[in-house]
Amino acid sequence: MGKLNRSRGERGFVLLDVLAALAIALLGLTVFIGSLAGAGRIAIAQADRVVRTIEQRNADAETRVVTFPAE
Amino acid sequence: MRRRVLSRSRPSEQGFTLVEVLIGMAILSILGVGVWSGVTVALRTAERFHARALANARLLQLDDRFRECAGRILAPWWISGPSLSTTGGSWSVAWLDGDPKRKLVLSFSEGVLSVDDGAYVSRYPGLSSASLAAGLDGRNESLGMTLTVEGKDIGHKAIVARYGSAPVRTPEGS
Repeated sequence: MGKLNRSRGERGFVLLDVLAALAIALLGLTVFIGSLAGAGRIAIAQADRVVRTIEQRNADAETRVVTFPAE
Repeated sequence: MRRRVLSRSRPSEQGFTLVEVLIGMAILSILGVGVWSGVTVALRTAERFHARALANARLLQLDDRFRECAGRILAPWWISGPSLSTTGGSWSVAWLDGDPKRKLVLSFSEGVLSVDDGAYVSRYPGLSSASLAAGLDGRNESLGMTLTVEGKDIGHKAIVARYGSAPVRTPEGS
């Protein structure tokens, strides 16, 4: 009993503690990278929406005049 | 003495050896460098996303403002169309709000495009180039203006806006 206590006290963290700490750190990193990926997807979707909006407005501006049949 | 030496050599009672500590530090250092470089790349990517989102929001604001101003160009029907005059990096169109003396002025300088309707000047930074040309329809008649802008985060974009006085034609037979 005393041997076990002494061993643990002198060896510092056991492997399980280290693994738990690494798992928590990894989880935090995953959440961080995941939120960045989400932000990236939103930015890309917004850029696509802007491009589509401008193209639609350009088409509206042009087709209101250029609606003649070819001469 | 001999017994003591033997007991100290047992790994379970020795604590960490220097080699163990060094190996642990090396492993942690490698992990740390990997995580740090990953976080750095992620932050740089986030910065790029932010800049792109901001540039697109500005582009949409510019689009709204430019079309709104173009719609206020109201030239009378007996002139062929408002003329677009260019001086250096500045363009102007008369007949703003139907007044021949009032002008819509667009100017580009040092990466900033300004849209001035005489009452309010809007500025749109972050552009690498901008140019304005007359927009023509299929019969070479003026329908409005084409603003072409280019920027690092928005690429090359053209905005075609109609003058408020540009006639609306209907297809033959309709």
